[in-house]
Amino acid sequence: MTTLNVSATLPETPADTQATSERRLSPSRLMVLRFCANRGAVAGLIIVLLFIAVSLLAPVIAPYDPLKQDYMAAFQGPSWAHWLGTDSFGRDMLTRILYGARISFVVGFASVSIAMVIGVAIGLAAGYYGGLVEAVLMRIVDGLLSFTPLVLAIALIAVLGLGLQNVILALAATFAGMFARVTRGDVLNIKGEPYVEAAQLLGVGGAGVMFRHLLPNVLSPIIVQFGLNLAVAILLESGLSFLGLGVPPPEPDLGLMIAEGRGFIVMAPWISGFPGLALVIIIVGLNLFGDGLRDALDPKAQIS
Amino acid sequence: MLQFAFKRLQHTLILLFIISVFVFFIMKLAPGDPVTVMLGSDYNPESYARLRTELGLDRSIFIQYGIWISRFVTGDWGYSYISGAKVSKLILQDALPVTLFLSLWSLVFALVLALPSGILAALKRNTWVDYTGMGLAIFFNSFPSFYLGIVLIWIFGVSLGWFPTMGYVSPWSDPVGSITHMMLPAFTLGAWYAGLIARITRSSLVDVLNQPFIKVAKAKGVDSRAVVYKHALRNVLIPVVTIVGLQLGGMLRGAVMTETVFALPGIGRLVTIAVLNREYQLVQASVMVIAIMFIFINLGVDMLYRFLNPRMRAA
Amino acid sequence: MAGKGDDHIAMLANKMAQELVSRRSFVAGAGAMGASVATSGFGSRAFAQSIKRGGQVNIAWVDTVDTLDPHFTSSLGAIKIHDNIYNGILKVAFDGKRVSFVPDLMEKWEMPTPTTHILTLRQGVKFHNGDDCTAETIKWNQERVRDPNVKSPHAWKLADLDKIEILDSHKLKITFKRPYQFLPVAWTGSTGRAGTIVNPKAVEKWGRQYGRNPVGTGPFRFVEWIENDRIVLEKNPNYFEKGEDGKPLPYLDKVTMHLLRESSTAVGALMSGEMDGMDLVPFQFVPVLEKNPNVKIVGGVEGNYTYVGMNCRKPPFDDVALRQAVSFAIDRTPILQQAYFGGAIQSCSAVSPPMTNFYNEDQCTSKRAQYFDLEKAKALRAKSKHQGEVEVEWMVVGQYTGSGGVGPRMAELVQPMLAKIGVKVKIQLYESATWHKKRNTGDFSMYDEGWVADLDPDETIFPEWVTGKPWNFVGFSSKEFDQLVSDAQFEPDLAKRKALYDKADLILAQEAPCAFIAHFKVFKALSKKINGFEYIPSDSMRFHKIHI
Repeated sequence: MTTLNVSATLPETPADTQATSERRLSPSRLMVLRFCANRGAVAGLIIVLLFIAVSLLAPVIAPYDPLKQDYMAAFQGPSWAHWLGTDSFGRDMLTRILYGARISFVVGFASVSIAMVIGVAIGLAAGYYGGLVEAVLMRIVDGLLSFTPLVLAIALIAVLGLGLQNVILALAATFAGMFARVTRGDVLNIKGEPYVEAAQLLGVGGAGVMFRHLLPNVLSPIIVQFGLNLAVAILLESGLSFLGLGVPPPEPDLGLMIAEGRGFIVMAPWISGFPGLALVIIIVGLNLFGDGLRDALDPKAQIS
Repeated sequence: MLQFAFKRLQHTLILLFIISVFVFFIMKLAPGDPVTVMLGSDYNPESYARLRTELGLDRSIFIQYGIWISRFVTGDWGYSYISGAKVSKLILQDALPVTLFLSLWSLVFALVLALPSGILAALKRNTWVDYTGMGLAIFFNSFPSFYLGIVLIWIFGVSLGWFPTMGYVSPWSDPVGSITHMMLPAFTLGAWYAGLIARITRSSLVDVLNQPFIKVAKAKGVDSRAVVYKHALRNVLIPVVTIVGLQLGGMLRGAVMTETVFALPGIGRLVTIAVLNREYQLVQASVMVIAIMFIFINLGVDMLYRFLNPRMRAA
Repeated sequence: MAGKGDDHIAMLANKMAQELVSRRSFVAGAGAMGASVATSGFGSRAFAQSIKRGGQVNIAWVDTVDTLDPHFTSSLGAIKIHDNIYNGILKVAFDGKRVSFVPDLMEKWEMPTPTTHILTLRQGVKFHNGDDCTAETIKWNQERVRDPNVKSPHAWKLADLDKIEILDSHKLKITFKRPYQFLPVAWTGSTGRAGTIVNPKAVEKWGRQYGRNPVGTGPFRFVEWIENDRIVLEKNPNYFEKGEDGKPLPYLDKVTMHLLRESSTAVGALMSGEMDGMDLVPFQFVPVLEKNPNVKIVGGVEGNYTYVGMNCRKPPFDDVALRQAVSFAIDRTPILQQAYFGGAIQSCSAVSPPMTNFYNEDQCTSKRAQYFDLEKAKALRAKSKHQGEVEVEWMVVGQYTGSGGVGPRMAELVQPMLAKIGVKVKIQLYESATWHKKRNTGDFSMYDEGWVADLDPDETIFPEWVTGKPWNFVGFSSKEFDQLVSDAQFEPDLAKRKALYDKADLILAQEAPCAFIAHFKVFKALSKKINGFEYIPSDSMRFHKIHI
């Protein structure tokens, strides 16, 4: 995900109107303000929250059971009974999309969170200890990052097997390297700061320095990474499912639904069309949100 | 500069070693082996055991690694277990040209779409031009390529019949056909990158336009169009070149989904199928080739970046 | 030579019944069975003018191709191509009703005893590299298949071969250790693979790369194979079969197989006219393509059957009552509609319709064997030693393996049906290598399977269900069954042989190591501009008589 790394160092400038008011505000307040001033980011956040809300509430608001088959109702186009039509098993598309969004978010958040925990730990250790530890850890990270993400994920899936959990783990491994690289870079920048050296002189242990003094100060770029990688994780997951290497049927997974629907693309285009559209909207939301987050959190953005 | 290059080369070799270990052991950890796949429904325990021995798959895993890596560095990449083709032929002759051609065209598409819209959006900041351009950029940047591919195939390939829907035609044998066959896949892949490049172009240009020297130039009464052309665009070049270089590196890693949907015989599809078939030698060699290209392109981009950006050279 | 002499199995049976006295020989082209050979040279002259020679076709090839070395292949996608590059000792013929095995590279096939075969080869057959195809070549090929050092997975098909003697340049005598009912299948150039004749010099020249550089005697010669892209064949101008215009076949100059796995893309390319055909049409696209004015669909029920296999070695399916309950709990009708989209008929037996001498039309209506009856299923379920809710994993694979490529859909449909009898199915998807490994080692509870392109009951029952045989992955074991199908291998009388299979089949249905699901149709799509395609229900796709 080199692309994202670079875009993180070459960010957009927030609207110029804020420049004057920023001086007097606390940093966190400032971030919120900067984020809110970015209309795209807010729109993204709303889209994402909306999808999260409806997918969490799916069991309550979904009109049907996502797995309930009804052969008599198969291949129906959009109607009042089935707003987005039915699929080849007569299952309600709207219901399945709501549940599908849920799987997408679960995979996205879980995989990126695991990646973040592992990656940040590696990055902190590498940046703090330096020397051989750093050399070994970072070469491994570089190795991981040299793989094509999807190919690495497929290879790991081949090892772990298919299924929701294993997809999450494979994607986590794919993303961990990026977090490690970003964290290490920032740790190197602040390692020489007086407060870090002071802590070391006071006899604070390695773990203490890393988690109490270094981590809080490198958090921003990590959160930015988190936001940006969510969208990529969900895209990769749907790609894996599309290739038949992700979540197994009959789960209502968006990628799987597109894959199943492409067999009926002439007869019943909505079966692949609506899940695809839902996926695009989710990713648009996450991308807008991620960009906004980056602009708001990464103060270096303006300096470089 | 030379010392820098030498050090990077050293790192690169270590990196390649690590990648080779990774890919080798990941593949060995995966259940099943090429013999299982080869035999398919003709499976029987005796032929299974015999073929495993024949292919050297029953030896110690470390010995297998040693044999493979020592042959690999001398240029003997082995054979496909299933079809008996030379791995080097499959990668270098069959797959790589396709991916190179696809990447090249996608890049052309991406730049043609992205640069003007990025620049225009920056100049007409916060107008409908900006919103539309950036909206489209985000939209295309958010489209899963497999889904966009399917949509394009059925609209522009089947319904309208404007472009061929599938397959690769070599530019050497049929230059025109090669381009028409590449239109939809290159757009599919290029659209994603176009979205990214347009956003970067816009934000870098906005950045530059806010710089004091531009404001000074404007204040001095220089024609605003000249300001953009003479001062701003030159400064936008650095981030854009960097991102384009990195994109190229990314593209060459193989667009698995695009190649799958459009039935292009590129390296992404080659390596994916090879993983599923447990074609160890083919996967290992492909991953190494991809990594080598990726690393060297990044190295090149890095050097270029240092060259273009004097501040970094000093550091 | 109609009736009993229709296929070689029947002939073998006939032979043995006559206590070795008959010296009748079996001549290619004689009788109804040789239809395709008989037309050569003297076909209806009236048609001769209407056939245009030349041109090329592009076929979207969605089936996987593993190798073009027939002695090593295990994929039908490859065998369909071999059929155009190579010839076999025998070939499969189809007269619209029944399948038979007819001589291909030989002119005359005599059987002085049930174990001795005297083959007289066609004169003047040349390989694509100019070599002659002689008795020596056939001998070399048969030895290559069974030589343990060569490691062909088809070696077992010639395990009982005793010796090969060359009588003259085009005549040889092959002796088997015992009468061998399976031989006609083994010797066909397509599905059998042990009788496909490759060029010895090319094999020696290319070694392990031979599978990429095939040389045969067939109507087309190999030009190139670009990985994941295409395989190109061009006309063999010296092919021995003659077209209706009296000149050598094939009519076409060139055939290109475009290799892709995305069948929706292939269908798109077919509809837009880029492709002239498709080697395999997934069921869900059939209705769409049937409506397309430029495309015709060719296909029918072939020699296959699909089933849900239950692992008899492991709980819970070590219990026969539970297996029986499953076999009665599955409603096949929605599966035929929703998984096969109408492209299949219900199956209640391993014997499929193209095995005309053995197939029972009433296999499903008679209610002798397995059928859907939820009440009966519940009653059986109550007898099972595993009470309470039973949880099992059904392993499915996404690619076109297992039960005709519909595994996941079938599993999705069956899952709620089995829930009704307290069997909770967890569908687990595996990628193909893992799936094969688990299947081969018996590491599963439930899975879907299909045996395809089989033309003889022995081929479709014996290695699949006899105790300890290689494809009996569910570990089924019944002494009585084993005895019956082993006897059937040597039973000379057709009626008696059928009776044996009927009995064995019933045991299989009742012991229920599997729940039979369907005999499915295999569909190919061809552009309407293509004429002369000869349909054979063993999933073959020969291009030699095609013209545009």
